[in-house]
Amino acid sequence: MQDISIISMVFTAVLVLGCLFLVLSPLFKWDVYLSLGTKTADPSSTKEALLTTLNEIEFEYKMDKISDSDYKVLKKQYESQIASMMKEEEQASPIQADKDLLAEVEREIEETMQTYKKKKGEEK
Amino acid sequence: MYLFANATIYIGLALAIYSLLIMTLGISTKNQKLVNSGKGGVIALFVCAGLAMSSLFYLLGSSQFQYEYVRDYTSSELPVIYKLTALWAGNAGSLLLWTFFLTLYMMMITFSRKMNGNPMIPYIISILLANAVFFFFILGFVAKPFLLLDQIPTEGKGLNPMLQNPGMIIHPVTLYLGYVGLSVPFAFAMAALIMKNMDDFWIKMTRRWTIIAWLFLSLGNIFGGQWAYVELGWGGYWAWDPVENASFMPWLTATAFLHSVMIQERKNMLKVWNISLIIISYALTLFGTFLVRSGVLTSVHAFANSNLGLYFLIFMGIAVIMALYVLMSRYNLIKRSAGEFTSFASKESSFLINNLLLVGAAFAVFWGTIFPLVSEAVRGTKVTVGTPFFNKVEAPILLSMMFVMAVCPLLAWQRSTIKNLRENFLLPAIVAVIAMILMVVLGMTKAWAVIGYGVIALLLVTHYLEFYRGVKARRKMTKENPLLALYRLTVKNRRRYGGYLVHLGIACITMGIIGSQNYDVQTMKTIELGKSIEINNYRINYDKLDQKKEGINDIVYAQVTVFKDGKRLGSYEPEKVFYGHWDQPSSEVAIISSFKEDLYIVLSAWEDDGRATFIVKVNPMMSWLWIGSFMIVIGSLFAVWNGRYQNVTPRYTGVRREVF
Repeated sequence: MQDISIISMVFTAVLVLGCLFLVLSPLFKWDVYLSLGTKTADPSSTKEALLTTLNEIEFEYKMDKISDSDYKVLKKQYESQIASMMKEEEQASPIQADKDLLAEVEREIEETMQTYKKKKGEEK
Repeated sequence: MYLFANATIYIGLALAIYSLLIMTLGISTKNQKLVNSGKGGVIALFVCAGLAMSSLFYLLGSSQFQYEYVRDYTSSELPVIYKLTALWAGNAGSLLLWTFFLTLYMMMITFSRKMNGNPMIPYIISILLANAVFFFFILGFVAKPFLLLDQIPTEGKGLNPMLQNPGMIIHPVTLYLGYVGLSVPFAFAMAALIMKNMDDFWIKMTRRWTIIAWLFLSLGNIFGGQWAYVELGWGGYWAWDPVENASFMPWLTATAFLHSVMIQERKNMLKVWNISLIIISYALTLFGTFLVRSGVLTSVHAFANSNLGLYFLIFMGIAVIMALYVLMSRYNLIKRSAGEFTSFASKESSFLINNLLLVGAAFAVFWGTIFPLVSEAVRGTKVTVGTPFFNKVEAPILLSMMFVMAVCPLLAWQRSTIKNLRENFLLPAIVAVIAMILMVVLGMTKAWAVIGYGVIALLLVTHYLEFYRGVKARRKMTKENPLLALYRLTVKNRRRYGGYLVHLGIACITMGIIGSQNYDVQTMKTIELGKSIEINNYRINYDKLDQKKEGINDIVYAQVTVFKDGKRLGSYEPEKVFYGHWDQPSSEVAIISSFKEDLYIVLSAWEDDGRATFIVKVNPMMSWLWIGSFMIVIGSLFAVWNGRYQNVTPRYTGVRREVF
């Protein structure tokens, strides 16, 4: 067995104390993380995902991977999903929609798509 | 040093146990302070593992032969770089390296900005801490890196000369980074299951981790193959050795996982499959380690036989049983709200076929690897499964996989019309058929090779068209110039186009495999000084036989001049090295490489009268293996670079948030 040097003992003691500090100090911090709120789900994420899907369908249509009829069906399907989502948003907001709500929603989808594409630099 | 170095291990073990317990207690009592104490433990663990590594580096670098590990794997005349890399030459050191990476990854996850405040963290860390407890236990009681000898030897045993190669400096490190990396998505998946969080959040959070772990696993396999090619002197790069298979199997399942998670992200399908794949991949990393360390199978990777493998087997068993229990207990929840296939002609269908092929390939390798054990258990004799079995089973799977890869870019998500597929498929198919006809006309007669190269031609054309049509579609919308459109198209869809680059890399590797497996030529001749060997259109003149001394090693070398079609290519010196600290000599081969083929010269033996025996091989398309490997690295890095992904926004719905 090798003789145990003083310096080795000092380093070991420092290591032990350092580790103890790391694991024990959080136990004595009374206000630890209490001010931090919890994260909530982002309501825009689903809409964003649907817009991305719509964008991808359009892109794949332009690359000749989807037929005209399929494209129309899929586009309609996702647009109506986004429309109903936006309707819900409208209804939840204090300002009521115009009388032709559907036309308004469709216009908004177009606008959102344009803004979204611009933001993503035309994702596809 | 002895006290300090050992303290890092035992304090590490105590910390790992403490952190695991306090974290679990924190979760069950919903006490944030306890969880934070566990997080502090994670930092302390990283410090301990880092200091243990530094201590071993110091002992190895300063040749402290009183330590068993230093004596066993180094000697005083060894270059400093190999003294240091001897850290992963033996069991204890390589497991220490593994532990260090594990604690490093734990730190990165615990304090990741993306995961800040996420309630999954305590669960994920607890799972990784259970791994840390196991590894610190092994280091503390089974494979001890800081064991002192009773007597101080004057010299060490030296490092296995086979390991004194630049490839061996990187190969184990990359492999371990890959192995440990796979435990991260495993921990996320388990945490998600335990918390009954059935969405794809864990997949999105581990996307980068998985690709990076996959990249390291790929690099580990590639460096291993490259090392075998230049160092072992048999002219091959893959021998289906059990240990090679052990690192290849998780690579196959991780590749399957990388593809199938995309289906879950987009279509909310294959949840059970994805979790099963990550459990299998994680278990296979432990299984690989069991094979390497236990000595149950004969392998070129000669780690000392020990009972270490048994510990890994037990740990793997416990981990798999617990993972399966969690999976089964959440099975009904996972099955609920799952999507379904809407069309057979869709990208997700092609991914599914690719998954089945990859898992099939992994199973075939697994069966071939464990067959000697099975045969011994059943019939009492160990029947070894050789290279022909693996080649016969894996070659058609590889070919089918290449075909699926070739067709995949032509398909859209959700549904592709057969008519569109047929139209898009026509041009690539015509090019592939023309290529095959040309090959036959030019004299290629081996059916498998012609079909193989035909499929590769198909893949190259479909991938080219994918880029071309993408640019065209983008230009329709943006009116950008073609180069800018290509740049923006790829940069904004990094994952997709990075993936395509990886596909092209795999195609290059397959080109190399088909060429070198089907059209290699070999000769072995004993010739007198001044005479020559002719092989294909090469002539190798044997000019001189001599010997020299490098340090304590004796080197016998032959000087040869190589001509191709009568044109001199240069003078080369294949060598045989006799080591001062090692009984077995090794061959240093001379390799003359080009895009078309490698000329591989080995000095095999010699006589007193100057006659020498050479093994000469011509290995076609070998460079494409390394070019393809490089493309895999570039493609993977391109895919993860900058982190701008689609749908990266985390969703926390359904997750309890008592502690975070």
